[in-house]
This record gives sequence, structure tokens and C-alpha cells, in this order.
Amino acid sequence: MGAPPAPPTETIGVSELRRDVSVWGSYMWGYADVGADIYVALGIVALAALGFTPLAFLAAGLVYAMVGLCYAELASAYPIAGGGQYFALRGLGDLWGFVAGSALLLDYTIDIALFTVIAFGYFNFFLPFAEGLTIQVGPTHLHWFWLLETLAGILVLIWMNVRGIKVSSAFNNFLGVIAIVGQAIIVIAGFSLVWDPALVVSNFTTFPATFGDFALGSSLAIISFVGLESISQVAQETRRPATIIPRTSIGLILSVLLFALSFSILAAGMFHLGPGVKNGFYGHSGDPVAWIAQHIPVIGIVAAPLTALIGGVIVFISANSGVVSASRLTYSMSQFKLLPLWFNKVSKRFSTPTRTIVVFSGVAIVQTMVAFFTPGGSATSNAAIELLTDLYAFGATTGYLVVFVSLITLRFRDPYTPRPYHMPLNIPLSYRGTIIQFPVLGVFGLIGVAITWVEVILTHPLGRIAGPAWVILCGLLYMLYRRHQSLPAVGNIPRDWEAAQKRVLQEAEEFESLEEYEAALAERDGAKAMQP
Amino acid sequence: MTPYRFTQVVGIAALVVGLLILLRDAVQVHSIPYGIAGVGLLAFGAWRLQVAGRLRP
Repeated sequence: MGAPPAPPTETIGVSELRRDVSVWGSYMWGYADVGADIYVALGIVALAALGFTPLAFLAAGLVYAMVGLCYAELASAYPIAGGGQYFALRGLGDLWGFVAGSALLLDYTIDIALFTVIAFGYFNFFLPFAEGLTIQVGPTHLHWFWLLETLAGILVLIWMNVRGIKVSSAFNNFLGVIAIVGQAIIVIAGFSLVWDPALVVSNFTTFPATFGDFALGSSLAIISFVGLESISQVAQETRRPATIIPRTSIGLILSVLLFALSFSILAAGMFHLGPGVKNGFYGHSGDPVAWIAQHIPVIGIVAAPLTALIGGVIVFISANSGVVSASRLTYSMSQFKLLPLWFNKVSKRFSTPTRTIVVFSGVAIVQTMVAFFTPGGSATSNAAIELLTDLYAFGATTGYLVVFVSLITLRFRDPYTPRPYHMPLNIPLSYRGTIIQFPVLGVFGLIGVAITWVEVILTHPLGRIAGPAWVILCGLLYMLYRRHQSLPAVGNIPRDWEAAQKRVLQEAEEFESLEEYEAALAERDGAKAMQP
Repeated sequence: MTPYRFTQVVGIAALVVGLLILLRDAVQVHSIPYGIAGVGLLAFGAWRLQVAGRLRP
């Protein structure tokens, strides 16, 4: 009698992506995404966390640093497009890969909607009358002009991406440098010309945040750090990913953390951060950095319009990265049969994934409409931004939560893959005859993200309903699709991960890692053969 | 921009900002931590200029 036939296994298709992203390119790719976040988050967090705004940024920043280190380890070990969804698929299986993917897809669609809203918040700095163009529609105070601008902006993004007009790397890098220099000038000028340490203390003692306010503020502050995912999204196009990705990730963590903390401390020493109208950012949640620049003496008259322009452009490009990342993610998900291949269809006329672009940008349009028609808000506070940030925070924390669990699981399930970078603080443990490094900092990161996730659920009244509803709806569609394809709805499709990993390392020209991997597998197989 | 020029620019900028902070502290802010930040920037600027001197082509 012959041996039973091996179960059919799937492998990863050959990559069509060229590896030409350098250290600087990888850093700027991440910065274009994460660096834009402070332009979005500062005002919203200040309105929520009041005098404790710098502490809210510090709390979120600590969680972000651990998320960043986690991504640095996983993206350098598995340098393949897909990011968090791929790590979850490897570590936890198809269903969790899909859950992480759907949470990240929610984030990318919200990224398109929210960042376009904020980009026009900055552009409206030049149209001061726009803030007053509102009408009362039932219980909703509708900013109709801002809504029309945002919808036009998303349509431009769809047009650009369908036609295949890309923001060139050179322009992206140029704008990134301008943004970094501009932010540095505002921070230095702000601290040396207008910042008042007594006002920081006064805000802290006069307007302390309640526990609920702080939870809301710190959970919103996490959005100022979302975007590290983009480094792992381009991991498959990065040269020597094992060396480059940890460097760029750590550089990005430090620089973004520095700017976020600097801006929040600067804001606390420039404005009163009380509740409602007593808050310096009241009415300026759409253009907080330009608002700060405007209040700096001497340079303010020039810095404010320049900041508004740079902020508007960089935030709009970040919205564009939402469209690009959504197509990369759906490509990866459909490759692993987590989404129908229908999404991967490339337009014959434009050679772009038209369906993905139109569907997910269409979702962003619906989200924008729903957000703008959400009851609440006033002429100076925007309920649309509140709803979109709620959802953004939910998607990010859900995705990160699954990625942290994947990191810990992969240390046990796949100890053979070489990890050019390990998260610090590991305890060696013996597991099934193999020594594995248990990630203590990974557990702290998991706890930190879990606390932030609970804060999102407890303090975001709309996010706690709409966020899980999105994931559940996507999950139902996933199960229908898998049943239709006669694939396991909850279980996994057998895949030859080892062959896939070898090919990925080969394509990345990480020959040392490949040799190390093959040696580890040979040692494992040798040990198995020795067993009685 | 050469490493020499970059280090020199950073050093000079730190000295200017440090002086500005000390001046503002003396005239307007009157805060010890703020003054310490100014002195720290002066020291940082002096250190970078010293390093720039070594990097001079």
C-alpha cells in the first residue's frame, strides 16, 4: 500500500514587483504616511484630552513604539507585500488573516475619506469664508461646502489612480523633506519665541482630563502614529529588506515620536486647552498645525500659509496612499483566496486595478457622506471628523492587536525563519525540543494595544458600533465566498510556507538568511529523523 | 551639503536658538527649566561647532 497522498498545497505566486526602494525611499514612504498624521490628529486630541494632551500623545507614542518594533521584526523576516494581513495569515491562519486584512482595509478607506477631509481643512485656510458655509439639515449641522470639496477630492484621487497617474518618488521625497524642515522650523521657532512653560503647568492643573477624556484622547492620539504598515506594504519592493526595514522603522518611530511630542507640548504652552470654547483648537480641528504656525510671532505671517499649503498637500498625498495601499492589500488578500480574484482584474485600457480603486474609493465616499450627515457638531466643531477618527482608531487598533498575537504565535510556530531584527527583551524557552525566544516586549505591546482597543470601544460611541459592524459584515461575505469556492470557511487552505519563504528570501537576495533558514530546516528534519 | 557644512549649520542654529531662549527667559518667561534648555542648546551648539572644526576639509 502506498503512502497517503499529501494534501494539495498552495504556494505564493512569483512576485512581479521590482526591488528598487532604498533606505531613504523606504523611510520617506513611511513618513509620507505617518508624518501627515500629526496634521490630522493634533487638534482632535487637544479637544479631547484637554490639559493632558502631551500625556495622551506620550501614552499613544509608547504603544506606537512597540507596534513599530513589532512591524520591524515581522516585515524584515517576511519581506512580502500584505503587511499585517500576511503576518496574521502566517501566524494564525486564513480567518484571522482576513480579520486583520478587513480591519486594515477599513483603515485605508477611512484614510482616503478622513485625510481628504483634513486636506481641504488646510486648503480652506485660504478660503476663510468656507467655515461658515453650513446649513441645518434636521439634527445635522452640515458643512456642505467642505463636503463638496472632499467628494471632489476623492473623485480626483479615483481619476488619478484609474489613469495610473502616480505621485513620483522624487516628488514624494521632496515634499517629505519640505514637511520635515517646515515642522522643525515651527517647533524650534515656537519653543524659542512663544512657548510658555507656565501655561503648560496651568493647562495641566486648571484643565485636567477626566479618566474618560484621557482614554478618548489617548485612543485618538494613536491615529497620529498610524502608517507604519506602509513600510511593510512596500517590503516586497525594498532592496535588502533585512538590513533596511529595521533601520527605517526605528528611524521613523523616533522622528515621528519626536514631532508628535514636540507639537503637543508646544500646543500646551501656546493655547488654553480647556473644554469646548475654552480650547485654543476649538473650530480648528481641521488645520491645527497651520493654526499653531499662525500664532508664532515674526515668522507666523509667512509660516501659516506655507504650513497650510504643505499640510494640505502632504495630507492629500497620504489620502492617495490609502488608495494605493488598499489595492496592494486586496491584491495580497485575493492571492491567498481571502477575497475574490475579481478584485485583481487589471484594466486593459489603463493597466491599473480599476475595480479595487473604484470599489474602495466608493466605500470612502459613502463613509464621507455618512460622516458629514452624522448628527451633532456645530459651525465650529465637526462631527464628520469625529466619526471618521473613531473608525480610524478602531481599524488601526484591531489590526495591531492581531499582528501582536501573530508575532508571539510565529515565535512558537515558525522559529526557523531568520529574524534579522528581534524586538528587544526576550526570554529563551524550550518548546517541543526547540529553543524559542519569548517576546516579553511583544506581550507588553499586546497589552498596550489591547488597552487602547478597549478605550476605543468604551469612549467612541459611533466607532464601537460601526467598526465591529464592518468587520462582521466583511466576515460574512468572506464565509459566503469561501463556501461558494468550496474552500474551508473557518479553516485554512494547506500552503507550503517553507517553499514560499525560501523563494521570498531568494527574490530579496537575502542569501545569508536563506542559508540560515535552510540550515535550520535541515537541523529540524535531522532531529525528526533521529526520533524513534 | 557636506557633513562639515551640515554640522556647522546645526551648531550655529542651536547657538542662535539657545541665545534666543535665554534672552526670552530673562525678559519674559522667568522659568528655570526654560533657562536650562537654553543653556543646554548653547552647549549643544558649541559641541557641534567643535565637531565641525574637526570635519573641516
